[in-house]
Amino acid sequence: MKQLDQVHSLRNAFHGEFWRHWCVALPNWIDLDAAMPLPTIIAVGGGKGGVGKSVISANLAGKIARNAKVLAVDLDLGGANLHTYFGLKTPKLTISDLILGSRVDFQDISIPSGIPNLDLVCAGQDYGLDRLNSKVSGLQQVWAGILESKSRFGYDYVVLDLGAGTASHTIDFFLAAHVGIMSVLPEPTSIENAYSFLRALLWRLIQNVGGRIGDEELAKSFAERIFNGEGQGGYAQALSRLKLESPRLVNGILAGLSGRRLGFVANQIRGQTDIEIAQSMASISKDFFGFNTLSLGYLNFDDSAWKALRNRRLLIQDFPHCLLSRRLDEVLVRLQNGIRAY
Amino acid sequence: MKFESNGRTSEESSELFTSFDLAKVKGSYYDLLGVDPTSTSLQVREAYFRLKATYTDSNQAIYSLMSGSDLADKIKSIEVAFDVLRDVDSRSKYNENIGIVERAGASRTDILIENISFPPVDEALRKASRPVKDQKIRLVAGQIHRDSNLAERIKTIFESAETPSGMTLKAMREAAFVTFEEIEANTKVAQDKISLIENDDFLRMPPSVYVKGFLKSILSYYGISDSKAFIDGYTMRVDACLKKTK
Repeated sequence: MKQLDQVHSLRNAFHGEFWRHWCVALPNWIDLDAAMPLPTIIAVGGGKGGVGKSVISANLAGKIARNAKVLAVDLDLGGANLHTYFGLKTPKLTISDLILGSRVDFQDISIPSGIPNLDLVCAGQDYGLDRLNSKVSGLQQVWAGILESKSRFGYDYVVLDLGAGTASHTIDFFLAAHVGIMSVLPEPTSIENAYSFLRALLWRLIQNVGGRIGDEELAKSFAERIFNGEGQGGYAQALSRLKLESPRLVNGILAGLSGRRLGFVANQIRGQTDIEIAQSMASISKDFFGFNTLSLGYLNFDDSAWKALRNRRLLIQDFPHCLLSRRLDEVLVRLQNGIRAY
Repeated sequence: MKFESNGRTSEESSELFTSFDLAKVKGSYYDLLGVDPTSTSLQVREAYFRLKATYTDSNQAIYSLMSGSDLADKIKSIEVAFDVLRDVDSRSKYNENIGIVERAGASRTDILIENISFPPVDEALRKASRPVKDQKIRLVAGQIHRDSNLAERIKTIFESAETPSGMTLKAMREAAFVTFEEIEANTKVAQDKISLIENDDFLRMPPSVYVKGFLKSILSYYGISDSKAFIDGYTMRVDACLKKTK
């Protein structure tokens, strides 16, 4: 594929103004160096469990690995299962060792996935992760490993597989992505959770920008005002109304919103009417939340996904020419177009 | 700031507008409908119908985000915006009011259908959604011959085999990372025959003269030239087995 080569040559686009916009919404305890080359970070989230986050991230990583060096990171801390999609068992050293223990380097926990060009970092199934929110120093190592994976290990792409729910570390990792993919099923529960995920995302983004600017109190009061009452009929509008009160904070938030892209994938589509759901959600989220959205298309409901999983192999290995695999190709092309648009 | 819309060059849009600020568009009816001031009335109409279909109760994507009254407000504001922009005269008047300067003497009616420029077709997307043909499969398999490391690894597997058996072929196929389909597409040996050979299933095999041909094309596909000893050894095993069972 020619496109990926072009994307590689565009890696410098992740610097300059765009880099500042991307950076402003990250937690303020993350130190960043503008000169450091970054990998293209893609995160797959969606709020609800069972919407196909791991299937999409594993197979997308496998597809990208045909043309570039990829690291897939399982960030479903406590409920990790990305390794099973590759037919592997939980390795001895996992992200949990990095977070809870010490004397482990990021290098030690990445293992070859069995697919050329694709390495895997697994998360463990530990019980001590309730301490996670307070243990920032451990998370810092994970962040450093992801951000330095280009400069230290030469990965062009990092694919983050996030867990369900709106835990603060999940949201922060989603904010780290240049393109965040929201996987949605055409069901009310999934859509409801997707919007609550986006609310949590916007809330966290405002907090992080406040932390970076050094005015957390103001950010907190702004967020409360937007989410209670004033944001009726659109948070983006409420935000632009608040611009007069603190231009610095609101400009920071708008920069943070424009520094990342949010792609929607409608998964497990069974009927013609569901095809438009990603497009529809992308335009609504752009209007309501102010995110920079993309519609990445849809994936049809296909038994080959679970057949491949029962073989403990990737869908693209076992059924490389099935319809679902072709839809994933389309999603990948739209994703590349979104990255190239930076 | 000079504004450039999708699929139009700046020269084309400057036929109608001298220049306008993005700030003036923000919050205007154009912003509400998600179009820019250079768009044709057909594009405005299209945007209106799309938005109307999006903000309805029957749309799944709206669930839990907006209540009934919010939706009604939204639809009302879209209607108001469309009522102004659908008509050529009222649109010109509105442009004047918000400070978007149209070129003197430009007629809005002549940009209705003739000057619409469609966005360019995304070749990559078209390619991705096209069904796979033999040609593409061959392209994947061709990488074996380009990758000298891989070719060498396959050769060592072949040479390290003590007795000619299907196990060697299986190991070679797994090292080369190719599927039965890909071998079939390149060698014209049917998938079930490849699997018979790999499993040393002599009883169900065709006569050894056919097996000889299959092995020759499979091994040459893996890039192995001096395969005579292997093929002879293998066919001897086939014949011996058949003799015993008869």
